[in-house]
Amino acid sequence: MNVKGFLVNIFDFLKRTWQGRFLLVVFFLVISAPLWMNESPLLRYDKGDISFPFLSSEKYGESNSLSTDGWEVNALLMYSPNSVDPLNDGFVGPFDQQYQLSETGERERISIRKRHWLGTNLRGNDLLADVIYGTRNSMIIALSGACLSLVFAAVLGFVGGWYFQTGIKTNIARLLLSVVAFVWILFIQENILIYSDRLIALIGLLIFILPLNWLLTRVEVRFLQSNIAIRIDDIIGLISGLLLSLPRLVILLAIMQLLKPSLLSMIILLGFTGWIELSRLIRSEIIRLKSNSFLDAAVMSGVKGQRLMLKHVLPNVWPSIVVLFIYTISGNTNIESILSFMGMGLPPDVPSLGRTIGSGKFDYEVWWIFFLPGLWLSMILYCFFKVAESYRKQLNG
Amino acid sequence: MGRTLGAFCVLLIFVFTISRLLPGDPVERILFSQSKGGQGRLTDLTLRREKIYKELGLHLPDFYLAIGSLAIPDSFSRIQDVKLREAVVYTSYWSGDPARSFFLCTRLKQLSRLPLNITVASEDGNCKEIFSDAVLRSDDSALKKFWAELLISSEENGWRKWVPVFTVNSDNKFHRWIFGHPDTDTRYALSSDGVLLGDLGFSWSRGRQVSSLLKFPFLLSMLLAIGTIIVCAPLSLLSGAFLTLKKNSRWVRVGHVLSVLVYSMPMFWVAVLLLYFLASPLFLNLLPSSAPVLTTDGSVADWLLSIVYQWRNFVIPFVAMACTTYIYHSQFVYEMLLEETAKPYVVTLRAKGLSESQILFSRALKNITVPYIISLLNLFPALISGSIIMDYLFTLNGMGTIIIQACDVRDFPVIAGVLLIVGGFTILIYPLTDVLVALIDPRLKNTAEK
Repeated sequence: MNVKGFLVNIFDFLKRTWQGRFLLVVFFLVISAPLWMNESPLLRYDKGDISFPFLSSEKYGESNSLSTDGWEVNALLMYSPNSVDPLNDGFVGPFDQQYQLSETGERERISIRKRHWLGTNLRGNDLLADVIYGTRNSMIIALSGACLSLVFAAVLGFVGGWYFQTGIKTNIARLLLSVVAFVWILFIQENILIYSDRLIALIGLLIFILPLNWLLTRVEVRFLQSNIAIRIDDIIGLISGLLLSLPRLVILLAIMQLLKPSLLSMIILLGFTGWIELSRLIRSEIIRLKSNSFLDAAVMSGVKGQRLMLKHVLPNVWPSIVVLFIYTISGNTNIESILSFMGMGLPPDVPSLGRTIGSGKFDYEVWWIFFLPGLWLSMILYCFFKVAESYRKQLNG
Repeated sequence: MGRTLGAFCVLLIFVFTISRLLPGDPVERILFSQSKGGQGRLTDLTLRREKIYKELGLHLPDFYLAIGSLAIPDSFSRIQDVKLREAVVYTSYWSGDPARSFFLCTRLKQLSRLPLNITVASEDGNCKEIFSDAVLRSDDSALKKFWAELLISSEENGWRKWVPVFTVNSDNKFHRWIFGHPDTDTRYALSSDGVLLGDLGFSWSRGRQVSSLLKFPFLLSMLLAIGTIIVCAPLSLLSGAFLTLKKNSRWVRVGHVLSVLVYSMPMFWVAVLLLYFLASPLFLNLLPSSAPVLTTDGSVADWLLSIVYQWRNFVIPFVAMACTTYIYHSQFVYEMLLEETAKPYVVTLRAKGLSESQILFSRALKNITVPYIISLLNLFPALISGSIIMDYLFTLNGMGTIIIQACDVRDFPVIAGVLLIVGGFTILIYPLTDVLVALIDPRLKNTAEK
């Protein structure tokens, strides 16, 4: 499958509607946010050497004062999510008077580049920075989580659909070997405590399994050679039915503390819980495709394995996946914001739209703290929704 | 039927695994949550820890079949002190001599010389140096002699960690959770009948029956979810039909855009907006924003009455939950009806002279009832999620508050109970849908029975 052509296609499709254009602009702005919204300068020249402070993770403080011949290039907006502005703390609104310190140390009206466009919160953090970086995190989480789910769903859906009603044909020897391997891996997980020993145990498993596999497929024992079919589709159906019967929010609340809260753990948890609808769709598409004669023709003419999947099956399944994939992204954005809103999602030092909304939920006087991020989030979700809808309409003709 | 039973079995195993996988020591958390303010005496704490440990059955193995090795037998799980257990496990893993490792560690603990950094150090495998350091600094000659014996035996027994040992346990945590266990020890009145007979056990942190703890929260979630379905079903059917009748009007198109906008908003934000406009002193101060006080110590009738008296507190959560469902389903009905009215039989009806509204209400709506009902009932898990969000936002004392607190203190029976009730109810809904569909459309009876 032509990946470049596919990306160009998606880009062209997104350009067609204003919602798609909005999403594209938001995506590129938000991904490049450290370049235009940063408290540390982008480029700094001091005492003969040049440095790029925005690349380092440590906070850029007041102590780094410049010498007389030094200069620095600042970002367009000079706030980061956790930067504190002591002059404008205690809920300064977007239309209120804001102040800055002049050269002589007096309070004066704030200049246009230092203005808090969306106001500040109690501690004097810039709300715009919170919103931009929160959107960045939620986009990263939603996209990667959806990609992870797609990988799962593709594997499970392909297997389930391809071996629908027939099952994977294997013999008892192979089944026994895989059971042994599984038990050995469980043993390693439980009882081998040191990482170097675990590596040895895994290598030992390979050394043990490969010759045994070779031996068992060649030695004529009728019991071991007898064929059985594993109804893999039923097993996958049972698991996905189970995950479908529990609300996703309840599962996520229960397993949220399995991993330490971070961006990566959020991606993994969302990816592990969001594959069910996708895999069901892929499975039904594959079952529908399998009755078409062009696949039989491809199999008869000797196309096998990877090439069959990538060249003949995937291009036919892909369009209907894309719609659900977009819904998965918007669903991930939604559920991430819900979890952060409830205080169970991202850790407190990572900005998130949900927590920003949650921090102002009962302060009616400071409307900007819950209203503006919520409006922005709804806008993004609306655009995802409309893009998916127009894609679906285009598919249906 | 067989499918539903299989789903229940998988649900039981899944719920058990999920709630046992949570990291952290439940006893520590329960002690921490119980000791408010003053620190208990050390002996007192130890006794309480021992009591809780035995009460919860934590000394039991997890499942019927356990894999251990010769170096780490499963009897180690009976050691209650986490630090001591880790030290014993790592020492025994290194030396391959469980008995001697256990005695060494307990003796070192009595002398309060147990190395604390044992887990970190053992990742690199230099357990030996740490222990020899600890032993040599103590003056106990018996201990030194014992250490020398262990050193000799460790050279012979290094292979023991590689040998798996399978043990079958008839009495284990899973068994006790499913089938219950009679209480022989009168000190701990914690016998249960098991999940199979509907006894969800005893909450560890709150000291109450889980079923009595979850009764009213579950009823509240059900009330919100089923109420939403009951209110939304006729409304969205009517408005979908109305949209189809007036599909060329400009206002309908504006309404469509607005409803999609509201539909794509996150539910909690809709609720916060409603609070801001309807329940704050800045705009209309029509509704209270405080949490309702429900009587949870009486009968269900009392509880229902207390809800009815405080219906104003439930307006905003209910509207926020219902509007998403309502919009989605009126769009659903609208699109289905558009498809339906393009069919040949509608053309015939028009030719016969029936008006559009007659066609819609007496013919077309009947044909979309089945997919409509299926879609409504499939929304059930999403509605439970919605009720959990509303519960958190408005402090309604529903399932949301309970599960968040239970996860925080690792209250395993409560987590399992919530998951089991919600999942079990949804699994029961699928056969219900089939029956309902077969009642409405007898042609589908055969497919439903399969």
